[in-house]
Amino acid sequence: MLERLTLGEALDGVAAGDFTAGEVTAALDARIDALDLRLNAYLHRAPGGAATNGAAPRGEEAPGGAATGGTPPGSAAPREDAPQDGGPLRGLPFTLKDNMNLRGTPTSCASRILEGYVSPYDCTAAARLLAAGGRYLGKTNMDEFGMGSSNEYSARGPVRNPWDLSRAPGGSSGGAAAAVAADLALFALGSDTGGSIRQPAALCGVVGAKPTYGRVSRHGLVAFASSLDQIGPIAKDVADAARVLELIMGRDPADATTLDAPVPDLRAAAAAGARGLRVGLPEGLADLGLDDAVAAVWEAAAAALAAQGGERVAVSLPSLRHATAAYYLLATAEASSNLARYDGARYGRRAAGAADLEGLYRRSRAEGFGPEVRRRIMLGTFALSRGYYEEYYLRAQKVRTLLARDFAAAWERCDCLLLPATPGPAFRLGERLDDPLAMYLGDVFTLPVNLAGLPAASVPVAVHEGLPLGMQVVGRPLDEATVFRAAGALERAFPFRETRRRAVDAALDAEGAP
Amino acid sequence: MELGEDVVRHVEDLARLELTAAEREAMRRDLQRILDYVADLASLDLDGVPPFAETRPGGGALREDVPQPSLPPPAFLDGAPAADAGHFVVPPAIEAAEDGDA
Repeated sequence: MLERLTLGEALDGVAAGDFTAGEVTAALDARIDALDLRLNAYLHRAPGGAATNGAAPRGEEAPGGAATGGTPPGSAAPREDAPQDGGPLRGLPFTLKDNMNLRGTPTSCASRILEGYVSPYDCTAAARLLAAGGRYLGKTNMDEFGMGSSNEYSARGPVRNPWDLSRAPGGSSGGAAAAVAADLALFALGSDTGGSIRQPAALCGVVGAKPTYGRVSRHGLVAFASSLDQIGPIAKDVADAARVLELIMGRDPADATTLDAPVPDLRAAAAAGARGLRVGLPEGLADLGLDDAVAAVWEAAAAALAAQGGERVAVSLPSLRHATAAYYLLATAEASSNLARYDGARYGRRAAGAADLEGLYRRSRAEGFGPEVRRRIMLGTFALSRGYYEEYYLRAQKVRTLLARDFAAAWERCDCLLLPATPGPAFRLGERLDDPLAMYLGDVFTLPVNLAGLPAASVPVAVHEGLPLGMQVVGRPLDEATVFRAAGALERAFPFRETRRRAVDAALDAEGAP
Repeated sequence: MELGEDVVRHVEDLARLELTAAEREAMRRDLQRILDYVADLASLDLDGVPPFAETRPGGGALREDVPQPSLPPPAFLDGAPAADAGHFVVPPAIEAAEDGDA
């Protein structure tokens, strides 16, 4: 049952000599073999399993791999330089979302337009895990280019929620969340532009954390919306998320947006308790589509923090109700610019038979991008276009200022905010596919955090009608420590691991029964 | 605002996309719904509010201004749909000059 372990338990067991990291990986590989045909969480797996990739190349070696002489700033230490002592990760495996480059592995962003693309270099976050003794296990499924909240907008098919295979796992890091929740991964890296780590983690009953903007290097992360994107962990418990985040945070010369700030001891923070913590509870969430069941769970979570010595503080974030509108103009505007690079000339897929360059661009992009990516490119291009820029993009940036001011005012009164991760539980596959706006509105509690660049974590705290619900803790800029303090306190109040395991086993057994 | 087909076509040109007539109409309807939703922003008094400019809570982390090694061209050309002699191959971007003017 090694696949059931948390990262912390696996590290302890390897250190004690009870089992090897290779045995943990083999157990995970066997479970992936047995279950992933149904979940569709993985898009690529380390050939021969991560157990052997300490000796062999870690992927299909890029055709040009052997010829790549120089090492770019921030890139991985070569495999041969893996730490001799096993490093802090002791040879245990990790997964990457399919928008993170790792030399010699395909990186498709679950898009047809990057079909066949093999990364020539490593993203810094993965390089840091490798340098810490981690092993690449596989790449996880996602909404195309991170654009979606259900993982249904993947060119490689939807991921299924392991709690109920008829439901979405959330997105866009849906494969990562489903894999961790179903014990198909020990821990995962995801990326979060408007909730893409926290929302799927909540809908799959696991822990997800998005650090302060600038904490984790995005070198080698395929860009969606550059003022919003951050990499973070999805893990089985708060301590695991803390451990992984500590390993990947820090300045990177290859990403000028990274911050030169000391990395806090997040595991210590997670164990520190909620005594004296002023917990802000935003008013007026009922007007933002909050489900009654979630409201009750939110109240219970606030009461649990108070019972551990925290103090409840009502706060007002009046601009929260405009955040979704602002976000979908700003994120799409940035996406329309970032995705201009997919031109059919330099990467991946090219449409056949184009007679001129303009035709090559248009046909390659029309064939390569899925419906949601096209929609967002169109919306973002519109918001930036002459005659509409002032009314849409610029107004949205001003609303973003108001929202940032709301958060700053809240920090005068509280140390962290507690709010639901999602307005409701996991929805059915297909339910929101024909209604992009309904899909967007589900991000109402996560996307404001990205607009303000704040750190946040989601923690599963309850089960409602067989589905998990998660709470979200939001902190001041650079104050991941307080986020993890509150997250740890929530986890102690609502132990979730056995609940998740039983529910997921029941769902998978029921579905698997002949 | 009412989003007309002409605006959708214009944006499609700007974005270098190519939609069929049916796709364009579906796109127009989707975008119209989203624009109706964001129309709320127009009612806000934003006079004197500066546009947001910086997500980072602290200063930047620019590296030393010295050249660093980067991957050699083959690492990138190998991922291209068509490449030759150290270049990306694309359809003609300009007409061949006929008067000998380079």
